[in-house]
Amino acid sequence: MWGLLRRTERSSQGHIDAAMLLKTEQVTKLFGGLTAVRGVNLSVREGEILGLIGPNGAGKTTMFNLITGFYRIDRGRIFFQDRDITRLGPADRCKQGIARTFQLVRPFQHMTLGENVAVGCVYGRVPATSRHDAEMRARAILELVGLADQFDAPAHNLTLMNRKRLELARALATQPFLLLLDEFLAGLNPSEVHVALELVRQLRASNITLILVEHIVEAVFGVSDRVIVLNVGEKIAEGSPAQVAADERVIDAYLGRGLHAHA
Amino acid sequence: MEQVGSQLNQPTVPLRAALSARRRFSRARVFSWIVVALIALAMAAVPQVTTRSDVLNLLFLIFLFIVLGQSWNILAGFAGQVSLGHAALFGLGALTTRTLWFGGVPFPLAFAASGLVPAVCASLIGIPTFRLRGAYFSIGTLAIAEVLRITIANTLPLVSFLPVDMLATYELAPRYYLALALALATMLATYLLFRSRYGLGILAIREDEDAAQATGVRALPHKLAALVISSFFAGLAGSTYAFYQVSYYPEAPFHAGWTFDALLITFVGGVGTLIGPVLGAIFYIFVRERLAVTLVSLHPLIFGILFILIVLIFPGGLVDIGTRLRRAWNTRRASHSESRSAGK
Ligand SMILES: Nc1ncnc2c1ncn2[C@@H]1O[C@H](COP(=O)(O)OP(=O)(O)OP(=O)(O)O)[C@@H](O)[C@H]1O
Ligand SMILES: [Mg+2]
Repeated sequence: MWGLLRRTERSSQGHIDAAMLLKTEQVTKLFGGLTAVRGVNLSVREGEILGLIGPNGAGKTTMFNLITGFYRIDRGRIFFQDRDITRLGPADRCKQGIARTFQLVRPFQHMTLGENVAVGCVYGRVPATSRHDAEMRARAILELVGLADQFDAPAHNLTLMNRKRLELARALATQPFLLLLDEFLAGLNPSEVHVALELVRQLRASNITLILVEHIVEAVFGVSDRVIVLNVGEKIAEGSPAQVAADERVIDAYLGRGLHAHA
Repeated sequence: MEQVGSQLNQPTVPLRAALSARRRFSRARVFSWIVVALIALAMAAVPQVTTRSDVLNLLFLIFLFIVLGQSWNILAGFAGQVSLGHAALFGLGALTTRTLWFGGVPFPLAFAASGLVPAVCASLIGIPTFRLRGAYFSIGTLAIAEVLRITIANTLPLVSFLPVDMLATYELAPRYYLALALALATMLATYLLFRSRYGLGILAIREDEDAAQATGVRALPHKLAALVISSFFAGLAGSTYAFYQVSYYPEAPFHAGWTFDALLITFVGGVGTLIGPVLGAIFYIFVRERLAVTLVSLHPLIFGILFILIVLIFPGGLVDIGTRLRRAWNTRRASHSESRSAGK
């Protein structure tokens, strides 16, 4: 069923030889005198899950906004599937196959859940051919995240967990190759975190490439193939979860002595 | 995670649910189409039954204000771009008709041009203006419209044109039918737009421009589309006004009062709903005409109080009455069948 999100099946065996999906070169973003992101090189291979961590204000969300085209880049370039997308707007990047969720979820409040998701089906990478087609696809996607029974319900007054499900469903509806999840687990209680992590694993099984920004470090380390650590706009470490957890600079800047996350 | 897991194994459930939902929906839809057709036929029959000009004038105004309100609603209610420059579009439509028609161009051609001129002007002005968001957009559009009104007032002679031969052959029925047809066309176009895929994108832009863009919706083309359609119908409304009024100051249809009429009608009826401007226009015209007859100088005050009361009692506009009735009916029926099954 999750296969329906992806038209092209790719070999799931290892990402070592898999093609490069996203690559940022020396990406820099300034806000007035503040350098929010400084010369960051980041790359993700197809099928990989990349964790992006760092203290508050490290530039993680800014990095997402640069990758999805919400912020204009000041220096550097971004490549997606070997195409230079540095100058593309957010809607066009979505159509190329880059989707995101927002750190503070942003449902279309006065539309039904079905309509929320149908927007993604109509305007995403594989546009629906009719409103009816979009609605059928939307229903299937709501089914995947466990919201199908609320297809006709308005999107306001959902619980936080359900708003997160909706945010995910709307992003999935665009049939992305690459999905950026910004603090998808934040604000959830432990059992909800468990459910949400299971959803993330399902995404991996369906071969969607993911970048996760999270403060629950144990969770990121548990699902990520590779982790990049940002601090004050700069990349200070990169490697497997184990390598990063043992890195002195990461421990000093972010993790502390135990493996305790900041809130 | 049990829910997700079990749903993965039942791919036929959503399909079946979708089909049954559609069937239920389409029966209600057939019913509403029949109601709409009956109302349209009844309205079309009125001039055959009566020649009372007060009745025809009242209905004409309702049709005209449905178009005025709905055209504003397309841009402000559905696309979320709260323009306060709507009078400029209405005025441009009226001015185009006045110029061409009085200049000898057949009315149907002048009418068509009166839709196109405001649409073209608006799309040119819209590209820079849509860079403004929220209140800045509203103030910007108000400023542009006022500048246009003052320019018109200062450059065109302040005479109410009186084409004598036109007044001699003036008939109300053609005006009535034009306004009726235009109101129906506006309603149909609005309905089709927001049933379409493109309408979904326009709604998404209204709800959250950034989230919409993240979902693949390009903001500017959708706002422009709403603006162009809105301008087209506002211009045709202006043309209909020029055809009906014949004699007026050229500046009159540019007056900001037209914008606020459109706004009031839409808010009283239900902003962002298809039927809202219809309810609003009926209410507004009835109240205005009644009050104007009985309480000449007090009527703006009373209307203001009525408006505030309605918005306080029904924040969603008069359409709220229908929604509440339906909800009350559904809960009553539910409790009724519950008590029946409990009694068994
Ligand atoms: N639109 C903006 N204008 C000005 N400064 C900004 C803007 N967006 C982010 N910043 C600044 O850039 C820096 C990085 O912010 P960013 O939101 O990317 O951090 P983050 O790593 O996502 O933090 P958190 O974990 O708190 O979400 C911060 O100092 C922030 O104040
Ligand atoms: Mg952030």
